[in-house]
Amino acid sequence: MKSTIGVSSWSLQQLSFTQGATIEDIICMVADMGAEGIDICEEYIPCHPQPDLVKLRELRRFAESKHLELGATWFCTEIGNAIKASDEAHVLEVYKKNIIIAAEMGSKFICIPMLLNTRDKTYEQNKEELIHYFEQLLPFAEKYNMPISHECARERTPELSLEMAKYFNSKYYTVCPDLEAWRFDTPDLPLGPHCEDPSAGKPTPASMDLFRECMPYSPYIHFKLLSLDENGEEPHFPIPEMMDAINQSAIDHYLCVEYEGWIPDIHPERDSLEETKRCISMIRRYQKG
Amino acid sequence: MPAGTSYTFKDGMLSEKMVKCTDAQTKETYYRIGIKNQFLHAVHPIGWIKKLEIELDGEAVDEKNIYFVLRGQWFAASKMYTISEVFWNLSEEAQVYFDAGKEVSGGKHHVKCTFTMSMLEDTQVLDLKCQWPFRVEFVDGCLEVCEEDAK
Repeated sequence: MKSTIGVSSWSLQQLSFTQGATIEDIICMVADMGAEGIDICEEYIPCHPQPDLVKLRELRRFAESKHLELGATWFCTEIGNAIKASDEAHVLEVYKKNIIIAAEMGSKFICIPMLLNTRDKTYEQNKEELIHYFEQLLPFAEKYNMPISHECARERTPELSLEMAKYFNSKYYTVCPDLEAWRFDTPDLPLGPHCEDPSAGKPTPASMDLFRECMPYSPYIHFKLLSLDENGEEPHFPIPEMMDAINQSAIDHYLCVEYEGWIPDIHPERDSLEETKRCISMIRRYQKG
Repeated sequence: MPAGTSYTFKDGMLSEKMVKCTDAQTKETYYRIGIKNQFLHAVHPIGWIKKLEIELDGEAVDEKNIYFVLRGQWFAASKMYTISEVFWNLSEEAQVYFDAGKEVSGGKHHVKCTFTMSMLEDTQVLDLKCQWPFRVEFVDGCLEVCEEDAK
C-alpha cells in the first residue's frame, strides 16, 4: 500500500529559537518542501491553560490553505507518569480534553508518548495499568473519531504497544513505532540513556521482526532521524529494511519526519530546514513507486 | 523525548543586557535580565521549575530577592513550584528581576541563571511530591548594565 510523508513541527523547532519562527512560518516551510502533511506538537498548539478555539481553528484553516493534511497532534503527557503524579481519573480528563483539541485541529491522529516505569513496576503491571486506562479512553476516542497513536521510542515499548493493539483490536488504538527504539549503537552517536532518565542504562535496539509485526497496527509512524551522511543516508537506523516493510505493508502509512539532529547533543550548528528537506528526499528514494 | 541528555538550547536564551529599573508603584530598585524559553520541550507551567537561582559575578543572590516575571505578573522565585495554571510558552521571553543587595557598577558583569526542574515533563501535572529526580541546567553570560529607557 502507499505511504505519505508529513513533517513534525519538532523538526524545525530550532528555527523558533534561532529565528523566531512561528508555527505559521513552519507550516509554510513544510508546504514549500513538498510534504503532504504537518504534525503539530503541544508547544505550538494554543491550548494552555485552556484551549483557545479561535486560534485553534485559524491554525487548522491556515494549514489547510497550504494544502497540508494535519497528521497528528502531539501531547507530552505520558500516561504512566501522570497517573503516578496524580491519579487515573485526572489523566483521563487530560486526554479527553486533548482528543477534542486534536479533533478541532482536524488531525488524523492524536499522538501520546509511552515510557515504562520499570523502577516501580513490572512490565506486566505497566501493561495492566495502561489497558485499564485505555479501556476507559477508547470509547471517547471513538465518539470523536480520533484514533490514538501510542508513540514507542523506548526499550520494550513497541512490544507492549503491539500487545495492547492486538488486545483492543480497534482502529482507535494504534502503535506508533518511533525509529529511536530501533537505533543502532554507532561511534558518532552511541546509544545511552535519554533525556527523561539520564541514570538509565544503555538500551537494546528493537528487532526488525518486531517492526514488521507492528506494521498492520501502525498507520502512523515516527521517522525520527538524527544525522544524515554526505550521501544523504541515515546510518543510525535500518532504513532500507524499514522502508521495505512499509512498502510491503498491507495498510497505508503516514510517515512523520521527526528530524532531531538540531538538539545540543547532536548537530545544533546544522540548519534544520535543509536537513529536514534531505530527510524527505531520503524517504522518497525508498518509497515504492 | 529527545535522544540526548541536554534539555536546553542555550544560544540566544539569555539577554545581552542587565537593566537597572525602578518599580513605579513601590519605588524599589531591581536589576532585570531577559530569558527566552528555549527548553527542548518548551511549554510548561511555571511550577515545573522547582528552583531559580541567580549568581552575579560569582556571588549568589538571596532567593527572597529574586522574581520571575511573565507577561507582567510577578512570581516569587521561592514559590514558583506551586504555579500550575500559568504557562511559559515556547520562545517567550520572561524577565528575572533581582535585588543584588548592593549597587552594581557600570560595564559588563557575569550573570548565571540556574534552573532546577522536575524530570516529570508534563504540562498538566506538577511533581508536587518530588517523586522524580531534578534536572539542573544553567545559562550564563557577560551582560552590559544599562539604565531603563525613560520611555
